[in-house]
Amino acid sequence: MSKDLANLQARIQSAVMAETDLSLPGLEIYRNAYRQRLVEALAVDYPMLSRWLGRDRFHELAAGYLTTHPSRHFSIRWIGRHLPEFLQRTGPLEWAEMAAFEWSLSLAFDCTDAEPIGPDTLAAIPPQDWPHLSFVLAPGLSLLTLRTSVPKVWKALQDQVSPPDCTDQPEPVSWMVWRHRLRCFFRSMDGPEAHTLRLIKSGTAFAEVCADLAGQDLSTDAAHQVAQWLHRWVEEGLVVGIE
Amino acid sequence: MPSVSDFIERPFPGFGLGLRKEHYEAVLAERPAVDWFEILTENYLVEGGKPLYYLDRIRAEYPMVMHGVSLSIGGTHPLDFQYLGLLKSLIDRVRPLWVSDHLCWTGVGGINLHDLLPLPYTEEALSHVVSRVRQVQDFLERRILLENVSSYMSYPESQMSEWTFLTEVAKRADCLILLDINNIYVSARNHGFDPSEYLLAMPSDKVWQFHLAGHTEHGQWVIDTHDHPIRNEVWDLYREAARHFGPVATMIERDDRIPPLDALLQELDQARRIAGPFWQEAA
Repeated sequence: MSKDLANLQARIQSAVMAETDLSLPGLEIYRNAYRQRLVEALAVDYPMLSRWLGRDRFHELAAGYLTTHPSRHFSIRWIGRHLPEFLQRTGPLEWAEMAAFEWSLSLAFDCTDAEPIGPDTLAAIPPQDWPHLSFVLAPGLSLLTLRTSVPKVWKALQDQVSPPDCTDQPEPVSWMVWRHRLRCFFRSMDGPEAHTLRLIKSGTAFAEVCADLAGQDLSTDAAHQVAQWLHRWVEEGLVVGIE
Repeated sequence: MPSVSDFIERPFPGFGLGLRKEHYEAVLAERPAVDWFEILTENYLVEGGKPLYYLDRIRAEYPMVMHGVSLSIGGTHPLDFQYLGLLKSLIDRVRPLWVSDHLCWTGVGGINLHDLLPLPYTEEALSHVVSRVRQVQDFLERRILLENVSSYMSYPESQMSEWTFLTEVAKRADCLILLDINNIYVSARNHGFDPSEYLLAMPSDKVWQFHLAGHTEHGQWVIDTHDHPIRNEVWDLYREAARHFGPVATMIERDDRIPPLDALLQELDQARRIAGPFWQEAA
């Protein structure tokens, strides 16, 4: 059924994607529009990467990417989902990291809503309950480890000032990206905080997190430190539930 | 499934605008004199954040219709029931006056070109589209509106005119029509047919909505860019449509170079001024 129609559509699609030639008046308009529309959509997903690279370099990058990863989703919103991984394989590190950073912002933007808990909720937990508790973090939270200074470059581009040189960090730096109500945020963390946040994110109970931090049995200092971080995360809108 | 005999006349909710994120705040702050908004379905098929936040708030103040671009009703790839499931959930959330998509195909083999490609107007394509419209309407438990797309190519395989094809789809599948006046004009110029012939061939009881938009002249082609004010030739065709069909929900679509809300409200007033004299009793 619909065999001729299926063949025709396969031929047209291949020509629109510039994989094959087909002599049909007007087809060129679809071919140009296809490339232009998807490059523009990618630039919406990666606004600072495209600003950073400039029009020509971004177009060249997008063309290569789209050939490897044509859209397979019903929504153009997901056109850029493979770009960080694509750039990890093919691009300079700083482009790959910029893409990973922007994609995490994009994921936070329209992730599932969850109302953060307030400091009062934390304060009301009876001391004997703490060891067994685990904490649910904001749905759109991404934890990144970046070897370059792309977040600084991103911030400068966002502020429309001349971006600093992107440099390699002496040590990889951990970043968190999340949304609090309608605003997206990011900040860096030191190693222990990042490690602890990863444990919390995976659902590890408070006592085990503290033990892990102390590197041995539960110490008062470790519990104090984890509790301090938790208070900060709560203030940042990062904690949305306690289990 | 409802059938034609189940309704007496088409609803007339008045004059609407396409809801664009650039206007979210202005809409909530100014409560403009728009009778309803049309949302782009795919923009709200997300988990949360700003899109759904503004959707719910604006929906609380205005009726809405939903307009999609991903159905690929003429595509030969199997219907995407994951998409249809999400669409149905959004319908439950928005409770729209109606739901529309386009008479086109958007890709095959799992690839989405994110464009609205025209179909060859053959008996084979007609049967194919009719069967898929029925499946979609059964799944959504409601009739859908299909919109005529603007086109820049036509197929030597075609056996009938676009207006015959669209009319037959609407009749055989018992679906409704969103008539884009600008698209008729654009395709008429590109393919050399008479836009009035198209307009007058439409089954009046099936036409539930009009789209108005701007276009761009590009060499030998007229391109449906949705980034300009509506041109006089399109207003003239709209006048003819208003006279011929009687009251039909009318909206203005602007997808690029989005002007301040006021500019679109003025264009909408122009639509009211043009159609008003013909529709006085209903309006």
